[in-house]
Amino acid sequence: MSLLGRALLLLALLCALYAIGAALMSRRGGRRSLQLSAERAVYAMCGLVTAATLLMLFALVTDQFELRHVAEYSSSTLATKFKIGALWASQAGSLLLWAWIMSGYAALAVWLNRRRSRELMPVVTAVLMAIAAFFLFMLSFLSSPFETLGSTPAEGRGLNPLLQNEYMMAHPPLLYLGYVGLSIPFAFAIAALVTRRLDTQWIGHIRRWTVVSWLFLGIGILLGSRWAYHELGWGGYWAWDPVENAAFMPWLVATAFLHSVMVQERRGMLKVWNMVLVVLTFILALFGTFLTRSGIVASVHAFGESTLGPFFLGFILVALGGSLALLFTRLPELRSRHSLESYISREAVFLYNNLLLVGLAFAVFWGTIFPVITEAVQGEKITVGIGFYNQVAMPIGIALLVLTGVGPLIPWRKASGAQLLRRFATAGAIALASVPVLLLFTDAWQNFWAGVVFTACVFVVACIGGEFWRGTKVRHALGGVSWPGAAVQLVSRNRRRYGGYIVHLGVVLLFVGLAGSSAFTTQRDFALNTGQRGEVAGYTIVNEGFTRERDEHKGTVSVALGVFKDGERVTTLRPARDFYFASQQPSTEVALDSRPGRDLYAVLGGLDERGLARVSIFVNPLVMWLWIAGFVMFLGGLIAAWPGPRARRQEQESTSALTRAAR
Amino acid sequence: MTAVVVALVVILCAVLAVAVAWPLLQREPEVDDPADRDAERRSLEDELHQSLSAIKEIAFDRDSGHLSEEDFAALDADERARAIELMRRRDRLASGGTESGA
Repeated sequence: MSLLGRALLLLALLCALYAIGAALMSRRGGRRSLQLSAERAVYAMCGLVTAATLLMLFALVTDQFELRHVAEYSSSTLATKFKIGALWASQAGSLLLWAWIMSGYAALAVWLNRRRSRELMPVVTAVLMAIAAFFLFMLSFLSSPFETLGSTPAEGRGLNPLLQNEYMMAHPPLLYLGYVGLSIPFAFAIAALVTRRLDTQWIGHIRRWTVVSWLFLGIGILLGSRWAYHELGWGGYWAWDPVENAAFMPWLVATAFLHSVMVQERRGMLKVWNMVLVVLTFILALFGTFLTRSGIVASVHAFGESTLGPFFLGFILVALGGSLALLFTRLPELRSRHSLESYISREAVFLYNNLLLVGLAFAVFWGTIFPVITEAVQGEKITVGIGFYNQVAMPIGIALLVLTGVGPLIPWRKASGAQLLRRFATAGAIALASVPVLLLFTDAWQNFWAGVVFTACVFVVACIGGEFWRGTKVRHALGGVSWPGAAVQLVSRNRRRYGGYIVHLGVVLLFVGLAGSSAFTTQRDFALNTGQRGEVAGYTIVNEGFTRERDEHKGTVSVALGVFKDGERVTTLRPARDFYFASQQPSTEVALDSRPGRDLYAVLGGLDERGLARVSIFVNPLVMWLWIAGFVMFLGGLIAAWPGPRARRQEQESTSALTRAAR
Repeated sequence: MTAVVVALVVILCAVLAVAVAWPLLQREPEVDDPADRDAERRSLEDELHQSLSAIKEIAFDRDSGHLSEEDFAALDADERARAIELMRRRDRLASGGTESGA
């Protein structure tokens, strides 16, 4: 099995290297047959990596403990779903997942463009295969998942208990789908620079890829937060951990690109900036992978010490240096068609949004690498605390929130005072009217910044709601359609714009969740004997006894906590502690009662023989809205990225519309 | 077992080599290959479609009060000029001329 797996990966590497050579040579003298051969090599590479991945999954599911990866990250008692999840538990296994997704994306990009973009595709193919070859090289020579042990153990060490969680089944693959997907826009950007096809064509090719990758990365980050919330037992979901930051940075820069690309499409501006953003997004995705694998930062999400760091760093430097050098030589051809006419215009708002997003990404980058720099310079690691991140992120976040409402309402080119007044009067009035309501009926008065965020949320919802209303009115005025029909038509005929607005609504919900859960959380620690009670945020917690259970996989102790409010039972929480026999590791099982207004979150710190339970209880308001926000953002992103009518219909439509335009 | 794996890998190598090299064994497509022109036409159609969508969007922005008449005229003229240029390039390609890019 080991031999076959290694052979498959080595053959895949050879295919990738061949594809690079054949694709680049096809550009000389226009030898189309070479590019066709390179495309076949890409498909072959994808098939080989898929076969290697399936082989590893087979090894995991059938307990082939002669393989180091299987012996160290799985056990015969592990549930099958977690055996599958063990694929990405190790350094080598997760590299295999990276390479597999990369091969799939590359094959898909080549296949979708097999009848278009003949000039760009050889370079796109070469860039994608160079990235794939880098990962396949590491899998073949530095960190093989098919490495064997000297002697086969009777049982595996099992999977880290923290990873035996449903969210861990989805979080890494989704995150990788985002990270790796960002290679496609990068490859098209490099191809546009190399071939000097710097018009809007390459932008058209990458827009949907970027939205899809951005969506996967965002959902991956959110699921990672949900995993941390459920599994780590500290009551929170985001700790500005270096590896969390590593995923957040490319997401921020990709968000900036998705906005600024509209300025290039509509006004022919920001061409250099957009190139920089695409390159930066990809480099940050690589940097994230480097952080997780190099061992330079300590994180609950990282793989620990490894020898891969210098290779990743070298690859990042080559990719960054090469891209910037190429960009520099093409600067004269990237001049804008127009210049900024007013600081109060749609293009200016996009620019502000970009500066804030990239500024935040830079601040996060600085905070993340600061310990590494101080260790290199002073010999002492100085870690940047959560306070630094919160201080920077809060004002930028609020400004970005307001811009999500302001941006869509500001016209292109320039806006007059009268236009602004007309546009924002209603939304502004609604936001102002919401202030006394928020102060009277919520806890917003207790925290100034939370009050500001909630008011800004009302303002943005009013702005977006107004946009939907105006659009529906115009669509309805065209005749022949009911009001609901007009609303549906509005979204379906301009999926990108209105899908984007739905994403903005998701952002509002995200801020509601963030503000509520960070400003109004209450925590209390108790030591309760059976029958004893404690009070937290108006809830009475009663220890109603404990249970001990065990199966072949783990032993569990749990305590039943009755939760009462005003004498009525609200729920029973059962926080637990597990002990996994295979890995000899303990794990905390959080108990959660989640409702739209608040989460009741209980962690069992310890339980002695007489039933004295040490528990921490958190009352976290509005956390549920974070996950609802994720769903809304996913829905909006899906609408925005959904392909239009079939290509043929598009062509017919464009031909007739073109004829009309020519008249 | 090892011999079986080695045989399997050798067969796989042979199959892959033939599959990947197959286009090289075929006659090289002509320089003025219709498939190349078709690919170029598709790319132009894509761009044209984007441009026409932008024209519609600009009109929609005007109708929903997002653009003044003056700004609408400037943006619309810009985008129409781009669409017409793309149309000309496509027509040149259809009539057998060469497409030299933007």
